[in-house]
Amino acid sequence: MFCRILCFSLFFISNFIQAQGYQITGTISDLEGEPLNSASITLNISTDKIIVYDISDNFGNFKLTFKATEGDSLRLQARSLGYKEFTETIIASSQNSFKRNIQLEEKPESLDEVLVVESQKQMIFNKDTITYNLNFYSNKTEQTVEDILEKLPGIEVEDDGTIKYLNKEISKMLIDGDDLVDDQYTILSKNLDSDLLKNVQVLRNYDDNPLRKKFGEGDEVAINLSIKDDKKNIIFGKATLGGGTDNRYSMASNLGLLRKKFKILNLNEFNNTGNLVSPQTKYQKLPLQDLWNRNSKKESFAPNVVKNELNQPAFLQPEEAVRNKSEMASFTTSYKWNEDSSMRGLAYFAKDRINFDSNIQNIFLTGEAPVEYTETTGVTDISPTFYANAELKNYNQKNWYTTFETEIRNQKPVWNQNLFLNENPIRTLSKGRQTSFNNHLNLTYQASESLLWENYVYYSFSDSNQEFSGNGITFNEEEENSLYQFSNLQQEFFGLNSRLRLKNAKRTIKFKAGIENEADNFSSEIKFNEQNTPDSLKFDRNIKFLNIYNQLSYTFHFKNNKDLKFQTGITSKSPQENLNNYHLFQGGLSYSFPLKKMGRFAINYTFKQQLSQFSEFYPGFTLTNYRTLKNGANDLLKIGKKSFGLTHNYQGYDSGFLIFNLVSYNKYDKGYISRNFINTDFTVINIEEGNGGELLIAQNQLTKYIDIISTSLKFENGFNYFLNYLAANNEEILPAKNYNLTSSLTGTTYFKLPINLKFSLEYQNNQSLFNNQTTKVENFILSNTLTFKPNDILIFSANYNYYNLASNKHSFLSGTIDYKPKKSSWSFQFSAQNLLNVRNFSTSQTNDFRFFEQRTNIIPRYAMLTAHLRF
Amino acid sequence: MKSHNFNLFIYGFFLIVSLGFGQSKNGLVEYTDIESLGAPGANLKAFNAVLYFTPEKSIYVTKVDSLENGGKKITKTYKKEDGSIQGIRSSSIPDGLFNINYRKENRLVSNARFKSNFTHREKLPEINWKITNETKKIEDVEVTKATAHFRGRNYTAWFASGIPVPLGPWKLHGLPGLILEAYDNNKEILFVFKKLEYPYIANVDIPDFNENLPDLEKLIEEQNQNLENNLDFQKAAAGQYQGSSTEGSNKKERLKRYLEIFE
Repeated sequence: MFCRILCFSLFFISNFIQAQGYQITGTISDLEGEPLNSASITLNISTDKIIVYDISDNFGNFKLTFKATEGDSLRLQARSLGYKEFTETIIASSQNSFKRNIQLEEKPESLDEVLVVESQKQMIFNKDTITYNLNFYSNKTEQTVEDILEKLPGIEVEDDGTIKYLNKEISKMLIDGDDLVDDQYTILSKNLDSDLLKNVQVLRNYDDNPLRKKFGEGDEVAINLSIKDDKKNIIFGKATLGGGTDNRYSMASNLGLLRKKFKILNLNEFNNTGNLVSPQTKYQKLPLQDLWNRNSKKESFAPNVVKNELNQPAFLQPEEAVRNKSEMASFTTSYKWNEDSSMRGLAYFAKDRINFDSNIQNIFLTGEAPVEYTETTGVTDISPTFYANAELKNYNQKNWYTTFETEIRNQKPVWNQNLFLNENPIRTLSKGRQTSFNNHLNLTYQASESLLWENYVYYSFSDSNQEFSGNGITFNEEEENSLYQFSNLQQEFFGLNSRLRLKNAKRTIKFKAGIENEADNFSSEIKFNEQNTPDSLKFDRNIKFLNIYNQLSYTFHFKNNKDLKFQTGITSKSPQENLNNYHLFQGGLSYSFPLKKMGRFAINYTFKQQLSQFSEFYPGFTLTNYRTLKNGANDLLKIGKKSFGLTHNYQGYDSGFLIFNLVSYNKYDKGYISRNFINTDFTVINIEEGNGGELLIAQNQLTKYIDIISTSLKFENGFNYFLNYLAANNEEILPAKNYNLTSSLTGTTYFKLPINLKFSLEYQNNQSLFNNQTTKVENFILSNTLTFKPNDILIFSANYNYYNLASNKHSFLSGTIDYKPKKSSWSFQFSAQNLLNVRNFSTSQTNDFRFFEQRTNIIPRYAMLTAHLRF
Repeated sequence: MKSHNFNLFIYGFFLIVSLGFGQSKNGLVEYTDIESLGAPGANLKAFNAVLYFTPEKSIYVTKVDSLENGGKKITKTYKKEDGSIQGIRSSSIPDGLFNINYRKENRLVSNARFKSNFTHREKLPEINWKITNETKKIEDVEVTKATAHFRGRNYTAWFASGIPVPLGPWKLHGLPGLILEAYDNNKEILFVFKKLEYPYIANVDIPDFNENLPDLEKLIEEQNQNLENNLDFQKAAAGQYQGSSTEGSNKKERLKRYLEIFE
């Protein structure tokens, strides 16, 4: 009986709370009764869950059919664009079907209330492309592309303008996908107006050669500048004019037209505010057998023998330290005839004139009694450069890709030093002329999806002359000398290089072969007091080799992106003069693999024989600076090099987390060593064969965007160990060990506040150990930039740098105010440099057995007003 | 309406801004349209896409030259799990791909690209969305997750109830709010939100297609014909390249290369 009652009760209760079917119908209209089409009507249960919805039809009708339990509290919402929202709470009752006619009140939308929601994703990450959202990274004070790039995580702009993405130098900077300047990208980065940019993209696994890219072999990095739509197809420009106290000036202009088929840019710059304009050039003079390894061009450039070794002290910003007069004019253009054929060209003239003073205290730890001397120098350095480059490209959109590139460079560097060496007055003057002419023809043929054939023909020639003279130099203790050195260096390469690649899913086989004619001619003559030159101070050295090489590499591709690669090769160098024949072997093994959630690792070992640098091999003496005579080596050396490397790369773009780790160790079985004789007046160096050195490099870089504090942090550590052998004022050859440690933390805040901060802390520790004596230099550098942006038209920023360099302490303060009126094409900047009016700057350095302290007069406090006009 | 007029419209979209200072109820949404059909994970480069809407109708345009700095071509290879190498191709065209939703007339006009442009009409397809409890924020706009099976794929859409227009990218529509993000479960088709502007003050003429366009049946026919042609071509091409694997005659796999799969 009890059981029956219980069963009946349960049945009754379950029936009582069982959900029932309901239906709400009705119409939605405006206040005038006009039916509203496409309005949305939703019914939410208290948790905000939408249990049913409908969209009104042309007559405003809607129907909601749902299940609910009596007593449920439900929220009926009707919405239509441009109308106020309607909400009503409904309690489910016993009435299962009811009607609701809803009237929505119009909501006036004014223009001030435009809702613009824009994606604030800082980076959009596709497989090979990273797009940086400039709305996030820019505060609109930037003037040049470089100013923007410096703010993008993962991208680094070095002091000389070199741009790196995750420690790898970019190979190109494209404008809307088009290459205008080849590897001379600093022309763009340092001069192009940042206001043109819609966004910046990093192209990973990039290759200029579409067939190579299609073949899946691209491993370069390029930066693409996307131009704002309203700057395309029109002539745009920017003019900058600035003047300041202390006769400071700065003028710059941009003029351009960027169309899909045709692009042209004219960039000019004149200033004496420390901004040097000569683009940094790197000559890719790799040996024949290494060209394909880096898809490198062969370029020759013969340097001058005597270099102006006096440089501005590191650390300082150019506007704080460099007294310059610089001028640069450049034209660059590209034109596409059709989808297949295009050309580009670049020409520039650049001239930097630099003046500075320096006082150096040198200490050479040569033994029990260190040798010490001081040099007080005034330097003037003028380097005019003319450069022109043109390239033609043809791609038949199928299997042939051809490029031809030619470039010419002409430089006439002149510099002089007025110096006191231990209070003895000395004057030096160097006049140089350097010319280089490089031509590259590339032909790529893709025979099938699994076969690629590349051919590279080059002719490269360079010639360098230098006339160096000095007065007051004392090479023997009795008399002062007038001294002249005339030197000439010529290099010529003519070669054909070919590579065949066979690939399928499981393996890649590369066969490389090349032939090259190599010539390197060096002559020099030193005259003392215009007397006849003794034989040892005059020589003519000619090297000619015919180089032939073959190389084979075999890569196994395993599942999950693991690759194992073997490589072996031989290079034969046959001399055309009385030199030895050389056979150089090389072999290597590398393995790269990803680990889940940990990124990609690569490990490699190579053994390689190479020929020593020709520049140290000559029969006689050269002057390498006003007080140093260097005796060249008697033989070329065949040097064996063993390398071991480990890299790790993790790129978590979604979380803004990047890690880069590298360890590399190189050991040489022999090398050139120097025997140094140093006294207070002069130095003599003899180069000879000796023990090889060692080099260990360890780097670690960690970048993380921390959401909670809206800050991007980068933590970097670097350690180098370098061992070489030398003798100093003693017969005994001793090891010289150098250790450099650098640690830094940089951060940029992206607060949604008017105030933002960029800061960096850096610690450096350099030590040298020679002959049981250790020298040590410790540096500590702190840098802070505070930006205050109270509204859209004004930006204040203050920069404070603190240096503690081997216990020499300096503080620098500078400030800028940017004013950008709304809807105006003008913008203005007022800046004040060196507000604390620091007049001297001291740094110390140590390497091998030399310790020196350099003191420089720097630019006193000054202010500048700069106006920018964009059109 | 002829295609060159439509072309004008597309260009006008970005170059001619006719400002209407009245009370605009029109809006503009920018998306990134990422497709790697039949090649999940190969992550084709994205195309820019826009959805322009008025209370009555909307137009979604993607893969159009004028939105891609004058044009974009993408050719890529990718490695499948079995290690074989596959190729994918995509490019923008002068007219682009578009879907025009005439809500009032319950009509959808779209173009598809087979060998040539194929403009067709259909009734606004009914999509049976299931609205979930899940919400998230896309740039401060609250969105709710909904799921549905539509034309051969399982889609997830994130819609904003606060923007009450039943529209979205491509043919996706019918939710009580604008779809800001949508993707299929294999991530072969992704519509990623970039920007919303409402009200959008420039007026855009959405063209009217009054001509008798081919209907959905014709589209299916055309697609099947295209598939057959491709299969024949693949069979002929497969023998040519050693070491390159093709998907041969696997029709089901090949079907996945179409945006819409009619089962």
